[in-house]
Amino acid sequence: MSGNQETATRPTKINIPESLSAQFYREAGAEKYGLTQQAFACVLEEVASKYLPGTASPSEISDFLTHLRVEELALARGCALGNETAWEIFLTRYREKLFNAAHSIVKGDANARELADSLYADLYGTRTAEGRRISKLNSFTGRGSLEGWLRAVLAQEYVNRFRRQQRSVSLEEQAEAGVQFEAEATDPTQAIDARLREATDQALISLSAEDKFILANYYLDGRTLAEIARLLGVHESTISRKVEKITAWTRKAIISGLMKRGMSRNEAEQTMEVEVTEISLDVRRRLMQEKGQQTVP
Amino acid sequence: MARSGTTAHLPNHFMPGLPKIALARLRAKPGAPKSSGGPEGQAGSPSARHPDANLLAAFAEKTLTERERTRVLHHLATCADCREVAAFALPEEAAAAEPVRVAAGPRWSLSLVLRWGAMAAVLGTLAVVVVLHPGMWKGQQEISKITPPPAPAGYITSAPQTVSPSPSAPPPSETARAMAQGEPHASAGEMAASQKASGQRQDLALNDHVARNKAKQHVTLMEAVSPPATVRAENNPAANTEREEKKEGNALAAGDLPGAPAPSAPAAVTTAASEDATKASAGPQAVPAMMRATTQSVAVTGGSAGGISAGAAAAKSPPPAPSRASMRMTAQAPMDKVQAFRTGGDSEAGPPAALWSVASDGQVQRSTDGGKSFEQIPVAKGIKFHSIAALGNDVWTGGARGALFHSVDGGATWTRVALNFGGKSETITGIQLHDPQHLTLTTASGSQWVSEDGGQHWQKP
Repeated sequence: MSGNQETATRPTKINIPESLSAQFYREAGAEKYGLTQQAFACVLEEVASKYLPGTASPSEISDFLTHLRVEELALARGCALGNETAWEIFLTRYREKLFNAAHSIVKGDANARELADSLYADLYGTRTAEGRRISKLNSFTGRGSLEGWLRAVLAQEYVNRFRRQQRSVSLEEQAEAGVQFEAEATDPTQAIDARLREATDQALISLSAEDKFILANYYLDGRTLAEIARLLGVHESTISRKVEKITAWTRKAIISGLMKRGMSRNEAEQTMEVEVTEISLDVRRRLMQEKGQQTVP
Repeated sequence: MARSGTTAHLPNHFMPGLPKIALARLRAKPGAPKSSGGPEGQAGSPSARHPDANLLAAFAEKTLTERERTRVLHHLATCADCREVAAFALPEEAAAAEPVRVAAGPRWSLSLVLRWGAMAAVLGTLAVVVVLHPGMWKGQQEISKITPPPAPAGYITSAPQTVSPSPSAPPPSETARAMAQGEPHASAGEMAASQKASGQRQDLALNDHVARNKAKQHVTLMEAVSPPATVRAENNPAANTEREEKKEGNALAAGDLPGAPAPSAPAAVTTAASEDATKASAGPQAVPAMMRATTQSVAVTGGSAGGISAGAAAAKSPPPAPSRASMRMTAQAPMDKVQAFRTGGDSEAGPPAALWSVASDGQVQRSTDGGKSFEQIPVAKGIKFHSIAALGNDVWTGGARGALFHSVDGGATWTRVALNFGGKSETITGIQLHDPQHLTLTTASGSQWVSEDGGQHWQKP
């Protein structure tokens, strides 16, 4: 996907047979959440249209809908409509979980409550447009559990709002404390060898998405093997072997790329271990740019 | 950000790490800032489109198609923020179980095979010992717990008074022991028969004892397990999730950890509105006993100060009908009994504690029969309540326009508590009653107010 531009296209509307939508309507118990069969059918069509191609066969559509969390979907949409029963049930099931999820994301009761409460208003829909409540629950599609979706939304809120604030504050504090960022390198001999950059990029491009994901989690984010294993749904020992294998392969690929570009093996190995001050500058510059973007409403 | 894990990282001496240039190029991949306003959380540029919460949640729960998963992985490989969101979106319960990926088959390492093989060998040896010496091991282990039936005259008993066998050594034969003790004994055949008979009797007694214990535990669990989940098709994951959530909700509501035996929960409720409310209201602290996030945005008019008792308010309106007349004024169980009841304590501790809830129409309800039935409790006319918390006879309920009422006699009479949220009148959507003196209110706007003197004074935390 990297480097490829995806053109934004309007999803093709998927039509769902009435018998099928009626079946899921019953299964979801959507009636008690204030949804009519027609309204729920529209919801199902909206979700199917979002994820399925226009050429999806009836069996593919049926299979897709079967794997949806239709009951939670009905509950979420009922809440978005302001249905009291739906909200009763939603609160009973998820309010405590929402707080617990916030607590696991942000340590400290006060921060967790602030995070949970900040989401609450969006879920309830305190804003209206054209007489219609704008509720974040309208975007729940039932692909995963509602609880998982709430956790993801909470995490997004946290990353978007709280982490950016911390990052910008830390940079300001550093500046005030007299920390000077390294000046841009003007001496070309300190610049990274273009051959090294090219060989590295080529090696990384050759990796599969999962391999890059593992490397990023392990080396950049500092996650443990167990955490990465949970993310991918495999055993921890599998991740252990993969990290070793991918790391070794990447080193070999970079050396091989450098040798193809005219270096000897010794030269390639030494070049590969060069300090990358220039790249560090790029990262800091990017952080500063992001900080500058935050001030733009 | 790295969470704590069971295994940290690979030992460095096994392999050199990734070259710094590779780390830097991996980090320097484009990742535009995420938009925070839209519900989908997607940035504007298609090439930097972040997967929305639905996809990230589905990714964490392993419910994406292979193609979708690959696309999400491509993005996650280059976007640290989305990786963090995906990590946060992981369900907590997954930490207790080994993750299993359906696509890839399990790969067994040699050490695991050897470990399981050794365990199987030990179990096999123990099984052989038990088979060859039936009853003896059990007899010696359990004899202290069970009084064996008297042996027929002339036969020795298999009651080792002083012998405590070591786990590794097989228990000494009864015959040898009896002979060593010089006890009179019958012939070998008779002794063998008697041993077998007594061993069988002890086995039966033991089995009976164990079975009775198990039955007792089963009954206790059955009593504690929540009730009647709405039954849907078995193949609908949502139904299973709902059932699990209801059980868990009951456990959590009573303060127990998930997985622990759930405390006694209401077996049946009469109204649909009360069903889930019951689960929410279980718990002596009622945190949150029944919290209505919705809040109906009512016109702000300052609530009237002064104590308006429910009795006075009720006097102006015709008394509710039969429910009040038939109301059983049972004494509220004291705190410790309530706790015991909630945690599945002895049913002889006393009558079930009152359960409080707020119905969908804003009426306060109470159940004194463990949630089987609820009756409306008049508090104040014309006020729609949204939240309630109770600790024994101490009950607080809050609602629209800053209405807050307090009862110290289990709902018989109510006193209105004057509140002034900084000049605004807000709907109270949540009440936490930590103890009779310490309360926390949550309003519709998300504000919190704390009292440390039983509601006389309030301040922001």
